[in-house]
Amino acid sequence: MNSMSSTDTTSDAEAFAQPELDPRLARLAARSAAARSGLSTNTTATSQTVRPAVAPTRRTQKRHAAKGSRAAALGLSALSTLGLAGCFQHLDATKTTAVTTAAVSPAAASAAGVADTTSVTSPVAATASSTAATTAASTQTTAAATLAATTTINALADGTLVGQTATNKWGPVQVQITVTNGKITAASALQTPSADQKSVTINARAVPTLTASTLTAQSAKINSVSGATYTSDSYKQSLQSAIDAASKATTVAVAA
Amino acid sequence: MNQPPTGQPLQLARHHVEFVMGMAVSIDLIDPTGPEPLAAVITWLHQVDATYSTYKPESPISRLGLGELTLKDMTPEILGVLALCEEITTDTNGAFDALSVPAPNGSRFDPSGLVKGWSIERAAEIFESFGIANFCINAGGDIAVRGHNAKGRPWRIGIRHPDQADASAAVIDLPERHAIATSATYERGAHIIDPATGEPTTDLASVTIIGPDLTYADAYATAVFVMGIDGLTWLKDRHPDYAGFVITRQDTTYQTANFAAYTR
Repeated sequence: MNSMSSTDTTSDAEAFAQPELDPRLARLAARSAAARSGLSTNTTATSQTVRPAVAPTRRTQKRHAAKGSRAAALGLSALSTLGLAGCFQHLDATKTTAVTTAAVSPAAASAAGVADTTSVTSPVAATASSTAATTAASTQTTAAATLAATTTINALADGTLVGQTATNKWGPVQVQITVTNGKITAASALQTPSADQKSVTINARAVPTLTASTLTAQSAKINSVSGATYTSDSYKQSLQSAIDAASKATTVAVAA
Repeated sequence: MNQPPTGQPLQLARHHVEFVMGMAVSIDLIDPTGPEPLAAVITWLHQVDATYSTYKPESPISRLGLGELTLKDMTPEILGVLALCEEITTDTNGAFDALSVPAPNGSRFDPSGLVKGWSIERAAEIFESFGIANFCINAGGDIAVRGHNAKGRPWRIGIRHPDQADASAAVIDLPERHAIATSATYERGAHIIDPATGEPTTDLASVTIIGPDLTYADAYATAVFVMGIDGLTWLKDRHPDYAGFVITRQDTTYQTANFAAYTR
């Protein structure tokens, strides 16, 4: 994978002619071939756990070099005739996978947390409380719901507010928020359950570090911005373009 | 580091923005250099665009996806990238899958989610081959750094607030030889497709991954976006050297335990 020499087609052909095709490529080819034939292949998406473990189409790649080659040939045939187009026709609606469903329950469990944080960060406390209450009612009572209750009781007066300690099934939780001009400018968890390893593991997602959504003043100090890939148009309005413009000005000034 | 050839003006700092691969690539070079390293990287990025773009119907990757070429027409470099895609597909249980992504060229094969991070890591290697030790490459929001910033401090990176383009949701000090990638829907709409359903994912506003290699950070960001919040658990278990930070559509944030080490 020499990045700087990508045009030697002769060595390419030779590499591919080797009987031992990279098993990963064989697998890719096999998956596209299977898709072409309309088979309901076991893509990795149908695995039942998040652990990668056994790749269901592995039988085509490991046991036999010849089999691997055949699979590759089949894949190549598919690629050459139909290409990779329509590869996922086999994915029907019933194939909701563990990857998605597994994500649903913890996400639902955290929904209350989501709502309560929204309420905390909203400048309108009354609306926020009702939002939190509604969401909390629609989900199981969790630490998050308790947090919503403790944090929204406080009016959004300026200062640092420390919520009451709430206890969920993993342990005590306590949050602190800082309010400036009626808006929450910082939030942190003072106490989180960490009595045993299991709690710590669960904690990673069960207790959000309540980073407030109103943090705005930090842009001046940063060197660069990580975010979704912007389009050329949106780049012009992005913080990164402002930083780029400022950096260019600096560069020119230094050079001059 | 490298002294420019005699007769050329010494440039104390270089900042360059290159529009390539449908995005802006912002490059910060701290040490004095001649023009060659930057020229080499820019050439490389355009070469990647020509080879891997799914917006260009004539690119080898487009022609592969559209069935005009086969795997045996691909260069070793491309095969390496495709193998890496498949490796991550297995690792993520299909949450990342180049074979299931509708591409702009009309095919359903789009390895762009890996190509961007991979190509920026290769660009970093090009700079290093010129002896450059301190730089930052930001490819449309995915960043690889080496060394330190102009003040001799770690590169300080803002994670864009999903609702406010000019605000940071968190600020990171990125250590030497680290990368940060963010997947989100606020720029291009709901474009991250769950391979299992074929539908756009909707739970999260953004996913940020920090780790030693942008190739993987970028792909993991896409995968965790598809997995949802549970993806952070997957990340922690499978790749403890990577840290994750998730912002939901309701602006709640979640993070892996090791993420706090990077925040300011």
